[in-house]
Amino acid sequence: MKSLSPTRLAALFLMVLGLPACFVARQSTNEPLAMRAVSGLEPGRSTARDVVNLLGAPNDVVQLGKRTAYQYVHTIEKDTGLFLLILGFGNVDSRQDRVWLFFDENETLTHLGSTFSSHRPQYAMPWEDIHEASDNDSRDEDRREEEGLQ
Amino acid sequence: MIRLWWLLLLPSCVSFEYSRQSLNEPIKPVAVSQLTEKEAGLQDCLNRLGAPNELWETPEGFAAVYGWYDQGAWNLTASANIRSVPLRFDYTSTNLDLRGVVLLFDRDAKLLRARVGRLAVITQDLRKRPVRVVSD
Repeated sequence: MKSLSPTRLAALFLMVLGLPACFVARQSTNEPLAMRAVSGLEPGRSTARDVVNLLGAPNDVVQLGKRTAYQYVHTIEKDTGLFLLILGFGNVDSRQDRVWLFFDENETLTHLGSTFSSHRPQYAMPWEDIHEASDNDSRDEDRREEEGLQ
Repeated sequence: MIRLWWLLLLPSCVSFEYSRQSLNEPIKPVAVSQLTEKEAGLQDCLNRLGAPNELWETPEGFAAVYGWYDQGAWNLTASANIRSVPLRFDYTSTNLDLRGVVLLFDRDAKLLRARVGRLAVITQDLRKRPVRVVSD
C-alpha cells in the first residue's frame, strides 16, 4: 500500500476534521397558507365567517377604527452553518407567507393583501446572493405548479 | 506533522465567525414613490407591496408597516488563561438594522404619505395605544 505524503495526510486530516462541523436546520412557524385558498376570497362578497371557515383562526386581529383586519402568517427559516477549526460561517434565511384581510363594520371583506415567499428561503453560505430574481422566479413557478395554479 | 495537533487546541482559545441573517424581502424605494405620486388607495398599495408585517391604528387612520433586514456580522472571540487569570476578548460587528417602509392611510383607506428608512426611526411617533371605538 502506497503511503500518503505528509501534505496529503494533513489535507485529509483537515477535511475529516471539518466534516462534523456543518449543519442545516429548518424551522416552520404556524400552519402553511394555501395560495389557492386565498385566491378564492373576493372583496365585496366574502365575509369574516367565510375567511375563518377557509383559513381557520387568524394569528392576529387588529381594530382600525370601524374596520377590522385579520392577519395570517406562516414562516419558514433555513439555517446553515460551517465551522472549520477557528473559522465559522453561518446563514439564516427567514421568509413568510402573510395575508392581511380587511373587513368593514358589517364584516364584509373590503381589501386583501398577500405575500407568498415561504418557499423562497435557501440553505446558503453567507456570501451567496439569496435574493436573486431568477431563483425566486423558479421557486415561485414550482410552488404554483404544486398548488395547481398554473 | 506533529505540529498539526496544535490546531486541535486552537478552537478552544480563538474563533472567527462570519454570519448573515436575512428576514423577509426588501422593498424598492421606487415602488413606494410610485404609490405616493398617484395618491394610491389601500388595495393599490397591497397589490404593489404585498401584505404588511404589521398594522397600527393612528390618529389619522392607520399605518401599514413593512420591515426587513439582510446583514452580515463578524465575530472574533479569543480567550486564554495567563497565570491562572482567565482572559476573554469578544468583538461582534453586529448592527441589526431593521429597514422598513411605513404607509400612512386616512380613515377612508387613502394613502396620505409614506416613510422609508430605519424602522425604529420612522415608527417612533406611531407606537400608541388604539383609540376607543364609539358605535353610532
